[in-house]
Amino acid sequence: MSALLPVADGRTTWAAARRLLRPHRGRLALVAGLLLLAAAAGLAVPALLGVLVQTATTGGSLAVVGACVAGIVAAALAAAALGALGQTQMARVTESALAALREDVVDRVLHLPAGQVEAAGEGDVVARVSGDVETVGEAATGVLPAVTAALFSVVVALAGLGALDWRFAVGALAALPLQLWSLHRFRRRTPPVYAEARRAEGDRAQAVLQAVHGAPTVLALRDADAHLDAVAATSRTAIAAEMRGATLVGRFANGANLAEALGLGGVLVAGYLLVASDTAGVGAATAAALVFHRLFGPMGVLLFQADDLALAGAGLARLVGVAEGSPARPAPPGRGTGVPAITLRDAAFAYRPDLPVLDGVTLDVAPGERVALVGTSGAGKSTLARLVAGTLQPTAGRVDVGDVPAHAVHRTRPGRVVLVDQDVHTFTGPLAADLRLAAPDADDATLAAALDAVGATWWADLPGGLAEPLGPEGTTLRADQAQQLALARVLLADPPVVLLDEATADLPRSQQAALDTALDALLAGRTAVVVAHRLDQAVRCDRVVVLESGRVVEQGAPADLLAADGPFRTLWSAWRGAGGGDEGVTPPTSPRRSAAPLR
Amino acid sequence: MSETRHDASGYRAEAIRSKGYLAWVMSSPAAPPEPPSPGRMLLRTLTAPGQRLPVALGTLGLCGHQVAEMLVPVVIGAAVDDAVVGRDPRALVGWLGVLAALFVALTLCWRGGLIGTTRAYLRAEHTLRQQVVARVLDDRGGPGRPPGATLSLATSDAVRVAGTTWLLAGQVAAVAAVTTAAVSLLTISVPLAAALAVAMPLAVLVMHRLAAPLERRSDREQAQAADAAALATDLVGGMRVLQGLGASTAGADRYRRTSRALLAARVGAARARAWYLAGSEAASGVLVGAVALAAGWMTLRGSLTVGQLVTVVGLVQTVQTPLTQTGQLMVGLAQKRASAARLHDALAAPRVLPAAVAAAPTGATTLTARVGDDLVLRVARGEVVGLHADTPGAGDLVDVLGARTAADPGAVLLDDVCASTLGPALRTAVHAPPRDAHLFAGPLAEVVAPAGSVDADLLRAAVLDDVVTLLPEGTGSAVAAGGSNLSGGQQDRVRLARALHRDEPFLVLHEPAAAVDSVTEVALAAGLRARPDKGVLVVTDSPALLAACDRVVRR
Repeated sequence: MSALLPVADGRTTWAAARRLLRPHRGRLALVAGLLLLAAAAGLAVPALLGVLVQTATTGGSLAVVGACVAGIVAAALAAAALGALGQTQMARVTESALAALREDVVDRVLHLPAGQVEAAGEGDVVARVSGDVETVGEAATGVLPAVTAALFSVVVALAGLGALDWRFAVGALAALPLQLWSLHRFRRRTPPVYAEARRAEGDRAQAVLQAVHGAPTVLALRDADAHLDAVAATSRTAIAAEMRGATLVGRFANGANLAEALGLGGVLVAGYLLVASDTAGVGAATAAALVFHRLFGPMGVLLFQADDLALAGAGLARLVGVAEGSPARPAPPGRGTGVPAITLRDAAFAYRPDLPVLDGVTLDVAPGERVALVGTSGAGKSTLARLVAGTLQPTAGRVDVGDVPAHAVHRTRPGRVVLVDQDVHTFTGPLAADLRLAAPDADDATLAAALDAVGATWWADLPGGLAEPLGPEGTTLRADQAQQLALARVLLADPPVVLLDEATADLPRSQQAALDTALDALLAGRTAVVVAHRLDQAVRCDRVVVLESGRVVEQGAPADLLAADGPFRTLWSAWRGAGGGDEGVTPPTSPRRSAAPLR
Repeated sequence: MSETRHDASGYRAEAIRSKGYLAWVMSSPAAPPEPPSPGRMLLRTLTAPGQRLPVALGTLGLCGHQVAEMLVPVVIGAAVDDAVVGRDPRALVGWLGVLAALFVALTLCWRGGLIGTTRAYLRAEHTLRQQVVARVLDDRGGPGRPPGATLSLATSDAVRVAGTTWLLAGQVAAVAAVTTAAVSLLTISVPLAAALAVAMPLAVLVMHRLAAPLERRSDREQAQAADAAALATDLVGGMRVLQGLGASTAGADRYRRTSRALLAARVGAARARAWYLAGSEAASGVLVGAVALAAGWMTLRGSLTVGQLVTVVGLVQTVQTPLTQTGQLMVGLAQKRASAARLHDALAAPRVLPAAVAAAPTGATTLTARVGDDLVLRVARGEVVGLHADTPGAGDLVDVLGARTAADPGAVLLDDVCASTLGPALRTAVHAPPRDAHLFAGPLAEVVAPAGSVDADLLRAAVLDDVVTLLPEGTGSAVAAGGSNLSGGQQDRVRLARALHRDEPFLVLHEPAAAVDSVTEVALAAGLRARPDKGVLVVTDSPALLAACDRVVRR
């Protein structure tokens, strides 16, 4: 939780935004031109109304009135069409830039080092790729066009007022000080209130989420009232914060409205003075009043929605922080050459210097060899597997796959070393799409064959077969089915090195025989390291390595270790002695190649 | 011996007490009240006690604001006529004073409207959310919907139904605005007002027709955006899998395809929106032109003053927004009704369990249960019985014992009380948490013993003591929601420790050691005897755990 992912500072964010928009420079100029013309055409409406008033007061002809009206209609139509063209072009630019950014962010995030994601917490990462992307996206589609159009309207209208007579513009600017002061006060007071509201809403969402996801457990614990009260309490806090926010918005609106009154009063006073001194006609005074009245809408948009843009800016900074702050995307996977060996030389790893997880491990796994890692929880088995996978880097010593450091293999040749652990995530969407993450070009027959090979024959019974959607809107796989799916992915990815970290823990014992066959199919011809709690799996490997407190304490062929009176023998007795009475597994005299263990 | 007697007398006491319980069940409204119909649900957001005052304040406030907005062009016109055209400084001061008063009223009304409506809205949302959560946590079983669907009920649907408060206040205010504009126009020129009364609703009708496909389009666009966000979340959730597989790039490519589809949808929707807006502006421009032509002609003839012309044009421009809103009532209501119907269906979903008609004998000494069709198992207090997980019906039995599904008559007995008469009260005698039971966020001590204090012996029995010593703050260390900061084996041990801390006389454990290593499993097996006062049933396929049981029942 301590080391959140980077957030870009203002300058970096601007630079990134400019870089994203650079390919669209031509189109942006076009957008600016179109919106400027649209605002100018829009201004022609009140100006012509002024001319009409002037004509009417000075007793002009109906023909002039008709011409003015024709001009008004033409100007309104032109303003509408130009505005639509400008907005469409702008959407093209902003949406393209946004799509490029979000794709970049997801790409970078998916390639982030595992350690960094764990340190940041998955919540932060998810917030970036979903919440922030949506906030920025909504701002780009909803707020940005409105604010841009409003900005053009206000600027052009002020220029127009000035063109009528500079004193109209001065009158209108009477609104500005109060507007700026209100905005400033609002900006200063809202962040803590909004932050508190967001925090309270987050707490409430979390309380609701836990109650809903954990409902069966809540009932089993007979704790429903406490959970309901917790949701209610967080909700009351959130409501209080939201009401404080509404009060601030109300005060801000008060300031903004009174500023409008001041500006309108200023324009009317200017009109009176100019008409009274015969400097301007009634038509000009009327036009000025109408121009200013038309500005109420755009000014409101600018004042109120600028805040949404600021919020989106914060989201943008968080997105840019990920996109800019991470290492470049690795080269596309190349096919390895042959089946490599794994070499560890005095490899050590520690999250904290005083608590080594692995402490000087030296180990050689020959090409095509299958090695079992056993030991109690916390012995360092999973850490060793992740060092070989390259998702962690050793703090001392070397871990090589072939002749290359494992983390370099992971970065430059993803897919050459495949690690499957207890994390049995299935990806929402069609079953085939999940499998194609491992083999993008595989046809349906290949996918089906891979599922069959790992014993996942249940796929044929799904209502949609390979097209069956997985997840809440289709089939939710059981844990053991999800593990089979994970094994099928490995078969499809076809890596020369496979690391299985408790990848079969959820499969019921009754499926053991089928599983052994599946594992033989999966691991044949690959260099493999298998972390196993179930020792009957370990004895099917070529070699067993016993880890204890981060060190290798014993290794050798399973039969030899069983014959010797060492740590493995102790583990085996504990495991088998407990289960042996009921359905023990007799160790095979020769591993793997012998018949299936007796039951 | 003495224990048996104690239990027997305890049972008698329970039986006597159960009569009182039965009477209470009969007399009290045992069946939870029927949830209101969708229509009534919408109405209640406005009329429930505590809602009326804020709703009234909010509606009145927004009405006042809209009326004042409509009067602004009227005051501008009057000021132009009296002060500018008439060159009268006293009139100028007078009208400026009126303008100031009008704006003060306008802005205070808006503030009151905002506060009142927001309060009513937030309260309604709160009530609905609590109802959904209470329904999910109903002791006779939730509405039987997947968590995602329930969450969307508690959030989006509750928000939409509560939004009735905004819809009402906004609609009434829009009607008030249109009425004000109509009255103002009538006082200036009856023929002009009559013509506008025909033309403007027509224009609004056309705009609504044009807007309908636009709304569908924007719904689709939002759905696509939600899909893209869901995909990104899903990919991040499976990041370890993707990285382990070297498939991060394939995952990113999958997201890129979804993102490109979203891009196309967004650009298309933006274009549609822009041209709809342009149509609306063009219609408005034509209307302003027509009004200007008529009013200009009338001004030339002298039947309209310059100020009145300004007022008419200003009104036509201002009234379009509220006029467009008035047509949205039916669409808004239909949307809210759909949400209310979804909420109603969930709240009215039939309960899984019958209501209790007897009290659970919390002093019971034996638990008898039928497994599948032909096996009967019996667990007495003080013994640990194993049930092999492969036995047909074993998983179903755990759900029946946990009162997650209804018990068939005669399938489960506590002494001689049939569980089918107990409904949710079965949980007071048997603690049978679901496999992979949820771990709630909080300090470890609170997770393990929510009500009482942590018993060090029970931590040791669950082999949790070595985990605790490794944690930075011992039993005070935070457990994240779902136990996501613990390994699978640690989660199992926390669950077991929590179950061992319970007070119910019978404990049912379903695969309590699925993710722990074999050495820990053996230590944990011994810990199953940590509560000799309880009858413990272990449903597992683990040889180590089964070996530790007094008896093993299997097919």
